[in-house]
Amino acid sequence: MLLATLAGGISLGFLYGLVALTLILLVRTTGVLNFAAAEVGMLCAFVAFAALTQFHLPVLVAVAVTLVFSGLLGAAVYCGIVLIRPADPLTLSLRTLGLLLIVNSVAYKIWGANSPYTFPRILPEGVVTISGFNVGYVQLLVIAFAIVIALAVWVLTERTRLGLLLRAVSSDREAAADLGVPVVSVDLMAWCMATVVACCVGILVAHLFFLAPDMMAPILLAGFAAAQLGDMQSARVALIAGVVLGIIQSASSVYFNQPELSQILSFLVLTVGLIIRGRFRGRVIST
Amino acid sequence: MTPGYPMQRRHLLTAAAALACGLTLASAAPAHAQSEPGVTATSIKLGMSAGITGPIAFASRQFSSYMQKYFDKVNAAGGVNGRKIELVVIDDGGKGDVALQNAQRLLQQERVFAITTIGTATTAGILDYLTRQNVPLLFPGAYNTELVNPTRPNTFALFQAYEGQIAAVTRWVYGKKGVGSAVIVRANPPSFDLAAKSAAATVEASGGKVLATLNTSYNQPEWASIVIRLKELKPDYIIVMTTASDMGRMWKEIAQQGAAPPKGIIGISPLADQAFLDTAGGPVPDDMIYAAVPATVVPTSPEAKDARDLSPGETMGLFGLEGAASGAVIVEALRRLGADVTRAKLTALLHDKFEPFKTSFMDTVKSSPDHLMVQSVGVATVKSGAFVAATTEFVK
Repeated sequence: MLLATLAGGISLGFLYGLVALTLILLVRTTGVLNFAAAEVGMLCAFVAFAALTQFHLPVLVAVAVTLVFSGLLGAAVYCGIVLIRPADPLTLSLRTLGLLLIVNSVAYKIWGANSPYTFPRILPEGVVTISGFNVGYVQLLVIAFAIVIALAVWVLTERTRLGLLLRAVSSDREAAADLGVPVVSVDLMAWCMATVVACCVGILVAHLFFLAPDMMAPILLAGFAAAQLGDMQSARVALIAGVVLGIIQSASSVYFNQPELSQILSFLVLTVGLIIRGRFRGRVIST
Repeated sequence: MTPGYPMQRRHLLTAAAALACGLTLASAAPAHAQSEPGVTATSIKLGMSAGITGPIAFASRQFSSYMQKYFDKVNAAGGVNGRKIELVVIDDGGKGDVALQNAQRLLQQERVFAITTIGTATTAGILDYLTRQNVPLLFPGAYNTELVNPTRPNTFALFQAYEGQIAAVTRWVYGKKGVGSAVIVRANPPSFDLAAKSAAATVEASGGKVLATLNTSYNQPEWASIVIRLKELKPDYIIVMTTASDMGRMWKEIAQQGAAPPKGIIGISPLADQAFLDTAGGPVPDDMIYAAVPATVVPTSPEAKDARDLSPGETMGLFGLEGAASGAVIVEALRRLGADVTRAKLTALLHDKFEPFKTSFMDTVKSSPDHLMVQSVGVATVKSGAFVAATTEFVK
């Protein structure tokens, strides 16, 4: 049972890590903590759902249409809450909180009535047995996608010219602009990329669990905790933190039989992690 | 001023007083009924608080729309004793506090004659208020034990509470498929406390053993941790009580982990809803599922044709059938009241004078001291991917 719990927790934890990565991607590139990232992912999952079930588009076309939509949505969000009245990252982060509420309310209004929905099976069905626990192909895809995104974030920000520009804009917009960096274009690119990643996460969550306006709520909290433990900067640490959280939650559900504990544990892990990290940092500084 | 004027004024005043008395008497006579809130010479207004949005939206929409369609059919045929039934539905989002606000609005602003609801948790939110106001609460689509325990003078139920449902269906399945061990999987709201106890007591009384009770939450995203425990415990039966879609997701994980119990899964009425099969995604083996269907027949059975015909283009789920059933009993009760429709007479009729009433799609309805007017449940199972009746009889 222990090994099965570990396997189940790891597959869940990578999902948390993936949500953390969508947050980190934008923080690292623009300094903005996008509280609405998960809700935007949910919105995109509904668009994919409509493309598949109402317009009966082929799977690849539906996914492509949704990804294009998400890119445009990212651009629209950037124009609507950033470009319209530029501000410091904290103010912009608070604006995304407003966006979260708007997206959530709109989704409830349009799709709340008949939710939760079952997302069409667009990925291959099947399982791989690990320690007596059957991990579905979709869960394996989540793990692979999370690792790819973590690597992509690292490569993009550390090893490409675009990443250099993104970091420059994130560090000091005015100085970057003075040096000829096209700030608006760089920001726009970052928002579009982050929204496309959020879209993929939304579709994967809907595929794994169910599609509903509130489907991201329990995952967002754990993802946020993982991202915080990664200092909103380190994709690697966030991914590891996500996996640790997944294992702890899975173990708490299996051994303590208390589903409510999983949310409390997210906060607990976050708090303890931040305290330990703060002390560690304090020691490094004093040394 | 002319000499005759005072005389004329006296005549005028007398005539006015006579007219006023006449009007008062005229308005009072026919209309003992018209003074009753929500009742006019041509209509009877009923109110419903329903979770049209939120976690029980699917059930609420079906329940309210099929009740409305039943009333539409009755109204099209001339109404009840010449009065049309008007149903005012207000969304509560599946929240108890909003349901309470809705109930207040229905009584104070809409001035409805009686109220019905859909939703176990939301109905719990308004029970005490309606009891204090002494307003009839008629046949809600809810499975609270508080509806009938203790008996409330104004409240009448049609559907067994969860504890009665699970006891009846567990007893029947144990009789049919044999005694065995069981794991109870329940959602955490307190409305399932009694049901979990009832299931455990029934298993023990039948000679079986409860291996564990596993707690889950509503809209639980991941079910792997529950199924890991199920694989470890290896029960003969799983007894499940949560929403239809949660049970569907549980089955999906059970299928993925190869953890299906050898004797079957027993559940409360949401397990018999189409949403379970829709969420389960893959095939559910024949004779794996046994679900309680309180008061009514299985929605797909031939006996439910009259209810299905209310909306021919739509797939009627269990809650749609329950809405039609509640509507049918409300209509019958109002019909038996005759022209004089008052809350006091309605509650007196339902309390101990409602003689057996039978339609094709539900068991016999009649007055009962505890105000639960149908004491039995049907049993649904899945065969060839669709719900069918596991037995033609209602079980207790």
